[in-house]
Amino acid sequence: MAEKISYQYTTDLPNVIIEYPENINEEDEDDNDDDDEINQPLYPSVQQQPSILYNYNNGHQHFSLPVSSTSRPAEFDLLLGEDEDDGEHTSALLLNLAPPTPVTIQRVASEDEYNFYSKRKRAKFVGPYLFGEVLGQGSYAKVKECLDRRNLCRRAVKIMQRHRLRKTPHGEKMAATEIRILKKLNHPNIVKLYDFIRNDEKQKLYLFIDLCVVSLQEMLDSDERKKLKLHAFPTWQSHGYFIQLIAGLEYLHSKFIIHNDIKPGNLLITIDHQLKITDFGTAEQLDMFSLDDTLKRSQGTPAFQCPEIANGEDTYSGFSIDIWSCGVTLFNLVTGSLPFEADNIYLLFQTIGKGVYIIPDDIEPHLQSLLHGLLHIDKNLRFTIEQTKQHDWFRRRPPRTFDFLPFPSSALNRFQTFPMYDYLAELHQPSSENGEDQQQLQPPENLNFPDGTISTTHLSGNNQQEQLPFEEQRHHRRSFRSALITCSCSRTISSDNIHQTKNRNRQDHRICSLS
Amino acid sequence: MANNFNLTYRIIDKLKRSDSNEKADQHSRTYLISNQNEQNEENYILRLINLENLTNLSEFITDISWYKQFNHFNLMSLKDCFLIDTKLNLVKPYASFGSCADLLNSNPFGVCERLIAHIMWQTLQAIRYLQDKHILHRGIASKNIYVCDDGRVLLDDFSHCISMISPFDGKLRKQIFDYTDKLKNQLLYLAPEIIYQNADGYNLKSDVYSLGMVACELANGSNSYRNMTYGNLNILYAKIQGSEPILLDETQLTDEMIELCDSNNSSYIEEIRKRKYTKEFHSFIKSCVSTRLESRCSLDELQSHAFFKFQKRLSRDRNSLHCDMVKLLETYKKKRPINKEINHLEETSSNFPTTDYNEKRNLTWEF
Repeated sequence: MAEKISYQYTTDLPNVIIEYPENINEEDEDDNDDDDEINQPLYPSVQQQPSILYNYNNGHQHFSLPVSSTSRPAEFDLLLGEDEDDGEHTSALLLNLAPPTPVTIQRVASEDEYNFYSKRKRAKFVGPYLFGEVLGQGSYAKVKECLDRRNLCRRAVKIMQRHRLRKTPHGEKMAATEIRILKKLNHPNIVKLYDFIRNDEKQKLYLFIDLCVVSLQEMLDSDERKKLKLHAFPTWQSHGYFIQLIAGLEYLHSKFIIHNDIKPGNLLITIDHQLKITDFGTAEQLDMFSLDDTLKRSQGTPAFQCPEIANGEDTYSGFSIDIWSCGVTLFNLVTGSLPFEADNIYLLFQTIGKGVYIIPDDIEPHLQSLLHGLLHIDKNLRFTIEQTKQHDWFRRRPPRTFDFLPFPSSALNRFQTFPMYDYLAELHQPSSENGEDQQQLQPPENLNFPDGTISTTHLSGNNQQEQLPFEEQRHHRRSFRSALITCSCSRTISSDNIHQTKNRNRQDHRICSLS
Repeated sequence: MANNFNLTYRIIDKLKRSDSNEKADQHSRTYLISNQNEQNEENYILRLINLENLTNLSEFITDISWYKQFNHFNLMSLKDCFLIDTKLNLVKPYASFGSCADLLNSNPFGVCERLIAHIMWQTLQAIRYLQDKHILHRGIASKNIYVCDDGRVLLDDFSHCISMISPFDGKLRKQIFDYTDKLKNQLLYLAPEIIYQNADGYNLKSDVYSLGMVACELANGSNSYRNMTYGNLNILYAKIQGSEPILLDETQLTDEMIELCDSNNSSYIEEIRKRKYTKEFHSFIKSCVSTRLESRCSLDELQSHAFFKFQKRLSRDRNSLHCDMVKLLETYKKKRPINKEINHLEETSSNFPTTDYNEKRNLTWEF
C-alpha cells in the first residue's frame, strides 16, 4: 500500500517533495535550498563529493525518464556507483506502475499514512552539513540543528535571510557585527562559530555554532520549576552559571567588546551545564585606540538596561552597562523575578532611573551585598569585573544542596530523541529504492526507535537469507580493499545491509542463548 | 642534566606506518634508533615532529603530560622527550611487530584466536589501570596497540584521553558529554553513545566497545564499518540502527555467502569456512560491542570472562604468559613487514632529516 502511494507522489517530480499542510512554508524554503545545492558555485566541496541529495534527485529523475539514464555523465556513475542496480530497480518498478496517470485519490490506512508522513523528511546538505529540525526562530534568523558529515559533530546553524534582514531595523548591520565579532572569539563560555557559509544566489547566511540545550530564560519559565516548588534556581546552581557568565564577560571585555544585551534569554546552557553567551547582534567593538569605553548608543532589552540609559544620558560607559545587566540577570536567577518591573516602557524607565529595588529577605547577606554592588545607580561606584571576582559570594562556592532545577523536559526531549535520525534514514534509503519488504520492515522501527526496542522486531527467515549476501560481500570488499567502484559491490551500502546486520545479530542472539 | 642526546642515540632505520599517508608524514618522521649508552644497545623509536609549521602546540603538551602521568606495564611510556631547535623528539620503546594494524596488513584474513586473547588480555589490563585513574582512553584502535617481540602489548596514543573528574568543580562525573572535532579519526571504534552526543552522555564502558571492535577487527581481518559509501554518516546510521559487528567464521557462513563467492573473494570465503572461533570468543565480542549499555560488560566483568581463562591461569607468572604469546607470534614472524629492511638505510641517510640531524651534532642547545 505504502509504496504505491510513494509512486503516485513521485511521478510528478523532478523535485520530489510532498507537502503536507503544516509544513508548506518550511518545505517551500527548503525547495530553494536544493536547487542551489546542485549548482552551488560558492562551495567547492559540493562539487568534489556530490551531495547525496544529488544522488537522490538523480535517482528520481532517472526513474521518471529512464531514457536519460544512459546520457548521464559518466563521472557520476563512477562516483556513486549506482547505475547497475538502479537500472534494474527502476525498470522493474516502471513495469509495476503501468498506469501513467497517477490516481488522484487512494485509500490509505491511517497507520500507514502516519508512517509515510513521518518518514518524508528530506535530507538536505549545505556544504558538509546535513540539516535537521528547526530549533527556534528569532526576529531575523532561524536556528536549525545540523550534523557535520566530516566528524559527526552535532551543531546548530543560524540561517539568516537577506530579505528578512532588510525588514528588521538595523538587520543587516546587526548580522554583520555578529559575524565580525564571533569570528575572533574563542572562549569556552562564548558561543563558538565553527563555520560560515554564504550563499549569494539565495541571499542566505549560514552560521554554524555550538548546539545548546536550552536558554536560561526557558529554564526559568519551565513547568519543572513549579513542580519542584522552586521559585528560582537554587543558590549553588545560579552561582555556577554566574561565575561562567563573568568568565565569559571578562574575556569579552578584554577584547574590547561590549555585549550590550546580557539577559537570561541570551545565555545558553549546553548539555554538560556550560554556559555560553550568545547573540552578538547588538554588541559593540570599541576602537583599539579609544581612550575609554564610552558608547554613544545602546540597544538592549529595556528591563535589563541601566539607569543612565533610562535617564537618557548622551554617552554611556560600555563596561558598566554589561555589569548592570549581569546584576539584573543574577537577581533574576536567584529570585525568579526582575528587580524592575512596570506595565509599559516609560514607567519602567522611570523606576530604573530611580534605581530603587527590593531584594527579598531570604537572600543571604553576601549575595545581597553583591547584588547591591552590581546594581549600583552610580556607574562609577558600580563593581568592576575585578571587584566582582573578589567578592566573597563569588569566591565561596555555596554548598551543593539537593534541590536542582533540571532542563525542562520539552527541551531535553528535543535534544534527546535524535531528530537527525529521520533525515539519515531518508538519506540512506531514498523511498524510490525501497523494495516492498523494506517498506514493511521500516515503519515499526522508525516509530520505536527512541526506546531502543529495535531488538524486538522479528523478521521472517526469508528476509534474512535474502539479505545475507550483501553483508558477506561487504566484508569481502573490505578485506581485500579492492576498488570501491566494482559494480557488484556498488550498492552494498544501501539500507539492506544495515538492517540485515542487525537482523543477523538477532538471529545469532537466539542461537547463542540456546547454546 | 647534561644529556647529550646526539651521542646517546644513533639512527638505524627509518620506519613507516603501514597505513600512513603523505599528509601526516609532512610534519613527523619515525626512526628506529639504538641507545648507545646502554649495554645491550636496546632499540627505541624516535618520533621527530617538526613544530615549525604547526599552529597548535598545546596538543603535544597535554599529550606528553599524559605520558608522564601513567606508569603501567602495558601502556606506552615515553623514555625521553627533548627539543632540538624546532623539532620535538619523542623516544619510545620499540615494538618490533608494529601495531595491530600492521599485523593485519600482513595477515589480511585475521590472526588466530589465541593471539587475540593475549592481546586483548594485556590491553584490558592497561584499560583497567586507566579506569582506576578515572580516565577514559577513547583512542583504542588497532593502530594504537603495539606488539613487542617479547610478548608485551603496549597501548599508545593518549591524545583522546579524558578524565572523568570535572575540570570545573573537581567532582567525579557519572557521565561526560565531550565530543570534539579531534575524535573524527577515531569514529570507526567509537561507541554509539559517544557518537550520538545526546543527553545521556557516556562513561567508562565506552572503552569496552572500542576494545571489542579491535578484537573483531583482528579476527575478521578488517573493520566492519570501513569503506562505507557515504562515509561517516553511514557509520552513524548503522550504529543507530543497532548494528553490531560479528565474527566471521563457519558458523556464520551460509549457503548464500558461498554462492556469491567469486574469484575476488573465494579465498576469503575458504578461510572463513576453515576457521571456527570458540563459543567464548563469540560471547566476548557480543558482550563488548553491545549497543545497549546495560548488556555491555564492565571491565571487571570482562576480566573474569571465560574467553580469558587461559590467560587468567597464567596471569600470576608474567613470563610464561609471554612465552606462550611469543610462541604464537613465531608463526607471524616470517610474514611481518620488516620495516622495509636495511636496504632502505642508504636511501634514508641521504634524505633530508637524517643529514639535518648529523649537521646539528656540533650545535649546542638548551631547554
